[in-house]
Amino acid sequence: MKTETGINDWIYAADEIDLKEGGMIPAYPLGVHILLARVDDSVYALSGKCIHMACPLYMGILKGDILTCPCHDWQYNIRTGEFLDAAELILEKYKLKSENGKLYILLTKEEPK
Amino acid sequence: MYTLSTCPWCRKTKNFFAGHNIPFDYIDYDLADASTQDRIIEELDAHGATGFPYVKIDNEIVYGYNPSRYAELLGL
Amino acid sequence: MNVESRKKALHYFFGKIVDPMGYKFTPDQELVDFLLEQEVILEQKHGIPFCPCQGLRHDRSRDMKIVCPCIPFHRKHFDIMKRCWCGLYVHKDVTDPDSLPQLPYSEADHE
Ligand code: SF4
Repeated sequence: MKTETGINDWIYAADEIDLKEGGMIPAYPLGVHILLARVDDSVYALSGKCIHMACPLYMGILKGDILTCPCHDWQYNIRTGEFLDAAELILEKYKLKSENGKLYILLTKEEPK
Repeated sequence: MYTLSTCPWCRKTKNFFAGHNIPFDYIDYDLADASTQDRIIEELDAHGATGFPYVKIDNEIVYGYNPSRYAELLGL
Repeated sequence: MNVESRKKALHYFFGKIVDPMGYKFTPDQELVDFLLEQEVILEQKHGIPFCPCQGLRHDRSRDMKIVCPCIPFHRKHFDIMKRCWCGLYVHKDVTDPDSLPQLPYSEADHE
């Protein structure tokens, strides 16, 4: 029986090798726009679109753990997803795992199947 | 007064003065040339003002749309 | 894009942002309509929906603090007034926006 991959599964997002230290890349597992970033050798997965006007964050600037949106300079903490000037505004953060050089993402807060 | 052409409170300010038949001079900051803009910004900064309207009545500054203060200063 | 549909788009985007900060669009519909229209015109001119009631300084770091909604950058001031400078957004409990004056930060009650 064929089972379909859904949001409750770990979904392939990118190859580890494509994400350099201090770098950011976009990923689109199941069409969801995700930002992958590596800081101090930890990888973070956040919503790929700025809370303000949905600009693509991977085109912004990552300095230390501060991410600056390319459009209007809104700044986020890459580790938590928090917008620095109003902590109520927070980018969705996703669970990640790495297996055999590949990064997998969980799009839901539920436990994986 | 210094105003913006895009700001509803600036329009209300102008309407207040016009409605009371009080002559006034204004500059729309957004439509002004660069040197005028610089001069206005300097003046606003000196008063800690960040937005418009900015009204001078004699030597008093009223920053923000404030009809009761205008009336008081104009003796209306 | 036509002005009316862009106004709707900004309304949708910005409503979602101001809500978690405790703000809502002012109940004064006419004011909402006027201000969003000005923002769309400013966006068409500059590529960015700047504040219609604050002046551009042609200094990026300062101008980026007056892109709507600018509440995060002027929070203390706006929270005292219970409205943003333009009055496009008010605190959620406000039903009579006309009663809220536009006060300079220096004169506002800092209690
Ligand atoms: S003062 Fe209000 S309308 Fe103007 S940019 Fe700030 S939040 Fe938007």
